[in-house]
Amino acid sequence: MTRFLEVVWAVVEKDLRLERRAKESFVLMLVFSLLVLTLFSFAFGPEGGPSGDPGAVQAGILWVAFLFASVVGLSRSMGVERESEGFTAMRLSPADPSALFLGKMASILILMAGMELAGFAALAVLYRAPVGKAAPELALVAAAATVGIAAVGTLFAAMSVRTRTREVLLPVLMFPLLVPVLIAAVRGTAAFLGGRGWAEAADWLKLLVVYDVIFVVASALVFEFIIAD
Amino acid sequence: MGLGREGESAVGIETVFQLGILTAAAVFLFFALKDEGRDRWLAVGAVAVLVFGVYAGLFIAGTDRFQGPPQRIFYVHVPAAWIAFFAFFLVFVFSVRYLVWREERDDVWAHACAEVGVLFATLVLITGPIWARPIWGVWWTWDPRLTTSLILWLIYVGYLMLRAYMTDPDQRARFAAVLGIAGFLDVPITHLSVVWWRTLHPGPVVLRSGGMSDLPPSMHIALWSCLLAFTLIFVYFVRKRTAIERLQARAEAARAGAGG
Repeated sequence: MTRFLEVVWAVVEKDLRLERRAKESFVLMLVFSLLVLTLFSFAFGPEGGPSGDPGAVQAGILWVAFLFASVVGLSRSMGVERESEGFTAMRLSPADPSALFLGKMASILILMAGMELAGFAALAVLYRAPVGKAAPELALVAAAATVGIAAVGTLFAAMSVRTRTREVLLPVLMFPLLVPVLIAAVRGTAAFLGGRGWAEAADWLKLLVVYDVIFVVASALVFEFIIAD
Repeated sequence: MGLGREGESAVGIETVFQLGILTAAAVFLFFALKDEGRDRWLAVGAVAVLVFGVYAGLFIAGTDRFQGPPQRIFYVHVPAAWIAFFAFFLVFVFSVRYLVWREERDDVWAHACAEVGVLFATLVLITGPIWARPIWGVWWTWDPRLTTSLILWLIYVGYLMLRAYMTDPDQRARFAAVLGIAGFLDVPITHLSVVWWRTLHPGPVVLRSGGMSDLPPSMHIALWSCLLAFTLIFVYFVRKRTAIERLQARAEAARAGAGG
């Protein structure tokens, strides 16, 4: 029995010593938890959201799910590039880096669109959300928000997969920058789910469009510095 | 006030707080005096102005009629916020410069500004709640400017983490520069979205579109001297940080040379 415990302790000691030297996991865990605590305030409102509006809670659930799902897709999309020397190929290619960026962004956008379609359906079934009543408007809000997520996400995924901590760093880099998208997407979605419509959603949609233009253009322009060597 | 807080004495947490700053300044001075050259006088000047600023905040500026003594945190909180914001603006400037001219120097400056900026932003996030507790009755509230500060802090902590987890200096400099630019582009739109999200913060009291402000002159003395002190400390820290970076680069080069 003591032998067994010795082994347990040896492993614990090794792990903690590694962590003390590298200081990777703990700091990442700490910042990640703080980030999630903050994000949930934007998704659900610091006081638990507007009372008596189930749409607000449903919108929060939906966009937190989409945001986390995007991390999975983005990490894979860029992880594949790292493993198969895709970045080297991009660097050697005479193609315009902006075109390469837009291609990577569009592919993740298509994956996310499919995921979101299923997500809205699941929301309608699981939470009895009135998705069908304003489907085109919800699709518009979702599209505007997803372009922003895909732009910022593609840029930072290309960076994070090439750090020592790999994909783990991605949410820490992209979530703070995506706060405006999260707030606007949640509020815009909540407006349509709650039947309040354009009067409430118009400003949020405008904000999303402005964000999209800024970050698609900026990311496409700086992508050459991400693939360069 | 009128929130019925217990033991409302003249010497409150904010006075303890100012004394804390003086203690920190003394420790800072102790180490800075070991310094040589111009940096030493920069540090001495910074501490002198800071001591005057704290004195002005405690004794020259009157006690705020509505907020009472906790208002004095303002003299630390507001300059720290300005410096933090300025530091992140400098990160943006040096990041752009780096991507354009690829001078290692600009990367070192961007890194130093980000680190010191995070330090001041941390000070903002600590002093905010200390002030908010007696005035608003809560430690934290999701008011736009507090929230924007928190997001800014998270963005630049991410910037420092990205740097920490990379080894290739050239790649690290490029990635960090991209984040330094994207992070700063995000600031106005984040602030706008958070303002729309909710609002509770006291409006701007120092700089208004009209030009003049509501602050009495005695409060201006405290505020501006603290701002000057923080600026000097900021310059000192950034200079030290870049010096360390240069030494590290030399050590690394020497090690690489010795190792073959």
